[in-house]
Amino acid sequence: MSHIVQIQTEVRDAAAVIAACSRLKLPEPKQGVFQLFGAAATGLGVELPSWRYPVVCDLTSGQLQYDNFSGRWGEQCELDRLLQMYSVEKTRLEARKKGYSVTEQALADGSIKLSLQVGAAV
Amino acid sequence: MTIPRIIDVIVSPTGETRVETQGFHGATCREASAFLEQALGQRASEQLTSEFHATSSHEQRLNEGC
Repeated sequence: MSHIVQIQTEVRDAAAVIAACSRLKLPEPKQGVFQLFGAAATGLGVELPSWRYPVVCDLTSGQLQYDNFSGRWGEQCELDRLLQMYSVEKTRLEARKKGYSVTEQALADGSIKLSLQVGAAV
Repeated sequence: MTIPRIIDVIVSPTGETRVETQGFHGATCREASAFLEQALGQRASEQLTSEFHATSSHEQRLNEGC
């Protein structure tokens, strides 16, 4: 192993959000203006199971707007699952653009490992 | 002898991502994974491993010899 990089996910790709929602069997996200508890938010709205308000993805900034009232109006694990699947699908999309093959493996701790075959060094 | 070049992406249950490269020579691993790092979000940290330094030093010695 030659280097390890930790990345804080930013949600900027609508296609990856749509793919993540499809994989999690969520309704297809829609672009629009959504009313949260205290304010309106514009972006790609995702409906999570049992969440009172949608999670709104601002694809320009990569940030999410949501109000789950510290878990009372929606479980954090549902949002975590969405973010995990977004990263998985975004990685798959980027690998496909480069022509790399990808294998996916579920790990015991709940993580998902994707291995991109880049080719061979001589 | 050929060494497979692999980029491993490990996504935690909370969505944080770790990118690890294997089989690359020296700093080429950074170039190889840069497209993913840019696509996924903000780099929070980077750790260079002994393999990175070993191959970089080896390349440097080769270059100095030319």
